[in-house]
Amino acid sequence: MTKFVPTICPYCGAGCGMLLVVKDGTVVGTRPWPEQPISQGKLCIKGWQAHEFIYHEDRLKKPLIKEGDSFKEVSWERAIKFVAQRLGEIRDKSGPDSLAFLSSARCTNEENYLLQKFARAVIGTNNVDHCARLCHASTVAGLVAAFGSGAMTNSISDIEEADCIFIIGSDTMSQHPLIARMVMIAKEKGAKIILADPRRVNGMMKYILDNGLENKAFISERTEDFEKLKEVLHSLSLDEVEKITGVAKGEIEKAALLYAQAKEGCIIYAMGITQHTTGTDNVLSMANLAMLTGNIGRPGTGVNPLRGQNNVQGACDLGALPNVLPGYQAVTDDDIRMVIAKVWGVAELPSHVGLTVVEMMNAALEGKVKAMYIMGENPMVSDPDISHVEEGLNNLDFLVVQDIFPTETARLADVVLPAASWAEKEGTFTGTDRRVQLIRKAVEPLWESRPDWEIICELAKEMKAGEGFSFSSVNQIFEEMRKVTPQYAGISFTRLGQPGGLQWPCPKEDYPGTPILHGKVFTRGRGKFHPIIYRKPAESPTDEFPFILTTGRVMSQWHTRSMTGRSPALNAEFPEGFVEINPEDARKLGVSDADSVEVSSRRGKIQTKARVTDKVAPGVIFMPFHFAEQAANRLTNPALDPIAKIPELKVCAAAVRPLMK
Amino acid sequence: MNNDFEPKLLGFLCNWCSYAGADLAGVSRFQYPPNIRVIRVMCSARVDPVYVMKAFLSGVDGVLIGGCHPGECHYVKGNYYARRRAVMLRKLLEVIGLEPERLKLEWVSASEGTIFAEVVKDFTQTIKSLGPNPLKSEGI
Amino acid sequence: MGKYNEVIRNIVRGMLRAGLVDEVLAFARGLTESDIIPLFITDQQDVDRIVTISYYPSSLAKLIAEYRDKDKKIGMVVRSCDARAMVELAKRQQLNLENFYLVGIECYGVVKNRDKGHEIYIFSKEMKIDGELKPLDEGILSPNCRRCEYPIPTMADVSCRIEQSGETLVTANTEKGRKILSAANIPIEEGRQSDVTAMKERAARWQDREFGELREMESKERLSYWLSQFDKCIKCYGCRNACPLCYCEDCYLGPERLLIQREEIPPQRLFHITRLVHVGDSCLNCGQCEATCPMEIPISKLYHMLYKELSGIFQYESGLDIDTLPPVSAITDEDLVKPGVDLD
Repeated sequence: MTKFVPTICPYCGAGCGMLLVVKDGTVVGTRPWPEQPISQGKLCIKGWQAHEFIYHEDRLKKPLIKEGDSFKEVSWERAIKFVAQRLGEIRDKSGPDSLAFLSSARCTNEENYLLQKFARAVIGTNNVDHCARLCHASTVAGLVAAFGSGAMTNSISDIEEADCIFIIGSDTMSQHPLIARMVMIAKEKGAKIILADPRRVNGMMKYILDNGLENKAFISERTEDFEKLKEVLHSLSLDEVEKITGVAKGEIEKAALLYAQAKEGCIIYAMGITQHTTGTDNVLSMANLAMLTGNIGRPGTGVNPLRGQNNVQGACDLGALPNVLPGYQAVTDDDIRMVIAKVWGVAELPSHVGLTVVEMMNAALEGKVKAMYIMGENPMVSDPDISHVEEGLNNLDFLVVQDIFPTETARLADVVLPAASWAEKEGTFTGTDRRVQLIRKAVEPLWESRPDWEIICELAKEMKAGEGFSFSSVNQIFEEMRKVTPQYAGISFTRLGQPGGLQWPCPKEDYPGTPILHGKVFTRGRGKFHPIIYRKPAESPTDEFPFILTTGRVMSQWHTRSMTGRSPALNAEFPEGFVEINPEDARKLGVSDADSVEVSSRRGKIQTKARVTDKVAPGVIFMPFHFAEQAANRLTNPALDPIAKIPELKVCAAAVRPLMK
Repeated sequence: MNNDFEPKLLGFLCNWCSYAGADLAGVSRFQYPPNIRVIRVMCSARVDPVYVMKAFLSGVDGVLIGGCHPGECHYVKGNYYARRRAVMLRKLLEVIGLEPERLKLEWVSASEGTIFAEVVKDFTQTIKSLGPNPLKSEGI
Repeated sequence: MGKYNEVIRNIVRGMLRAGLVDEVLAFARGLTESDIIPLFITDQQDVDRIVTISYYPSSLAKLIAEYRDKDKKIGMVVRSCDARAMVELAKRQQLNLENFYLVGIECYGVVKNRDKGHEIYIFSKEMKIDGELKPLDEGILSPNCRRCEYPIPTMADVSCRIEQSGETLVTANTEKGRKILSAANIPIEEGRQSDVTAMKERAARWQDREFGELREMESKERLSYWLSQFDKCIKCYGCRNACPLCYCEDCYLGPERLLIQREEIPPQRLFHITRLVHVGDSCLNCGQCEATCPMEIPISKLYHMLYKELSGIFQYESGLDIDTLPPVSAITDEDLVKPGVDLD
């Protein structure tokens, strides 16, 4: 008998709906889900092939414990006992902060909630973080400071109502195709699209101000600190901006005019803005620009970060971050800690801010962190400066990796726990437009894998903390979750049983959800302007490393390829890594298309194939970061944004040399 | 019309008839313009219509398919299939916005050396007057 | 008259109860009243979920071709586009129509975008929205439906016409159809004619308009138009995945075939042209390609246009008669006596 199971795509943060085709208990295909509001009966290639990896023979089948150089299959009982024992030992001997947890932006909300609860309530540390640190940590930091809420202000569906869309630092077509669709629909309705580079925004704002195009009413009624921004812009000259950015003054002015004069101006941005040592500043600039022109709080407007992972929004919302508990409530707030501790049935919760992803790796290398628990993340491919990561992880006394495939990180682990894929469990994902949606179980967990939430509960029980983890259903976890997460308080599984779920904040059960934030007031009351001054990236080109290396993605591969690399149709479209190099530069180096080259930086070197193309400007090279064999992150710079602690994955200095044929 | 325009033509010629005919034209020194590049196939039915379109999408100005006369196909019915495909392809070209005259199907037997030369002369002239494949300027 | 139709549900109930079929594939209510998804039905309770409003978000024939159980007898509640697709698939040896019991619904078009929660029925010249009858606004129809010439599923076993009053008139087209109706205790109507003149007139009008607009362009302009449409493509393969005529396991478009260059978005134009070459002579104008294209490329308009041109030349109509083979893949006796390089 064939069933069509409605669920949400496990790849990007757009949150498209799909129907998994299940024939006699096996997932055999994926079909679009017509009523679901994001996908509207369409899918990108990743969505259409979402089922392909599920039955791959590489799937982790049984718990593994490392003996010598190889892994031995063991029973769940033994694995859990061992992990519990070691975690307990290390906590008791070296203190709770000697353990660190990496949660997963691809696991469900309930699983993220449980892992941070485990870290805080059972172990006693705030050292919990996840890969948002590598992508939108600057968004969370920046928008919280400017608006009071760190999330996408509008909904994906109202993008088509904009008459001017400013896209900056986002390759929307490749990464969020169904969101690019909205932009295209707006364009076909006559909207103007501005595509830009992160460094030009101050220039645009200056032009707007100089020409009196700012929205004076909005600024006076709904914002504060405008004078500080005005001062900075005043002392700026557009010629200066032209020099720094390499964009003609005229173009900056044209863009500014289009955006300022739009009735509904919408900003869309992604990694090109956030993955810099100035990431938070860049985001604050976006907020400034939107507030300057009053483009907030209405359909077709807003500041819209496109979150990457299927549940990175949720992982942040549910507190898998070192400085906040669920609902973005500060760990340093005594009252909050007391309330949540009570719900969790513990005496107290750790009060000082914990370590972020890159800081954890540093601490591991220094021996300050002795054990790590990594759920559904693959820092050995996704983190900057991989050699450093490898050293750090190898220096740990104990490493547990919980995943569906034997990733590059799993190979370094002491214990590997087989988790169930998204098609084998229930739960919720939260998409980039704050949309909480149910995923539905299509088939039973394969082999001996278990849903991540079950594994965490087993572990807690083994560590004698089972009372706070005795859930027999995912729904029960959600019910507890929403007690301590104000934005989710009014959401329930029953209410989620409709295509499109609900968008937070949803404070009460009769509240319909919030498509657009900051409608009448900002979450923090008034929007706050921040004066931003240009700062150079941490590394600039030198004679030894004359190129700017920037990293990014391709359409058919997803992040570290643990899933797409094992999906034949997806892998065949982009089977290997490459470095894009401008024809001028290629000529000077004597490099032709498809030649083997060595790309190096201060952190390391790798071999890959050249793609000579004018998609990159002279002096710039581009590499997709997906491919472990040609790992761009061996080269990238772990220099951090001071506020968000996000590494500068988008800029480092590199060299290219052709290899002998 | 550009008088300097030298079209690039592709000819799919079936082994048993039209290719032999072309060969005969060659040894007999019957002159025909050098614009055509010949690909020998065993039968005109072997010509995959997708490859004809690939040729046009790569900028080829004209495609000639040569087959045996009806009733004389070495494989009995191959040329009939080729004929239907050519009819379909010409319509497709028209619908897409390319000139259907850029695709020509012709029957040429092994003994028809002069006819082959004439066919190619005619076809080259036709394409010359049509001008270069518009895809060349549109972007291939 | 609501979303659910008692007569059609009874027909389905009858087929299942009498064991004529092992399961029935139809569009049905999903999670909520407004959620419509395909459903394989064996349970009498699920029969109650079958909907008949004018919304048809995928090809059921395609789902059958891809996912069905080969040793089952399957009933389907289909519109003429899918009934014709079943005939075309049978022609291509992809299924045996003997195993399928097709319950056809007369269709005067379905809507392009489903306004959440609204119940829309499209008739020949009117539409009923939430029970209120109004003159038909052709703008809400799926573009391919406006060009469609086949409202009546004559190739299905049973043909149902849902009147404006909600009354449903049923005819049997085949022996299987008679069995279906007798299993459901539904009297067979003989000699009922449906008036399709308005539909044919509408089809001619829209074909003239949309194809005429393209024909009137200079060929360079037309070429530019199609190239700019193809350049929107994100290579999701949705059109190929949705098309009932595309069933090849080893698809020409895939990177392993080395025809279409990998790592290119938008893909080479040959991507779309290849599919056009392969299915153009039999395009059913079901519109599912266009419906699932995230970039709103008017694929169906192009393919249907080629099909109409070829249909005239080859005297071939797709999906009507299982014994008439696709024109580019099969030669006739007449071919053998024609001497020229053209078919006229």
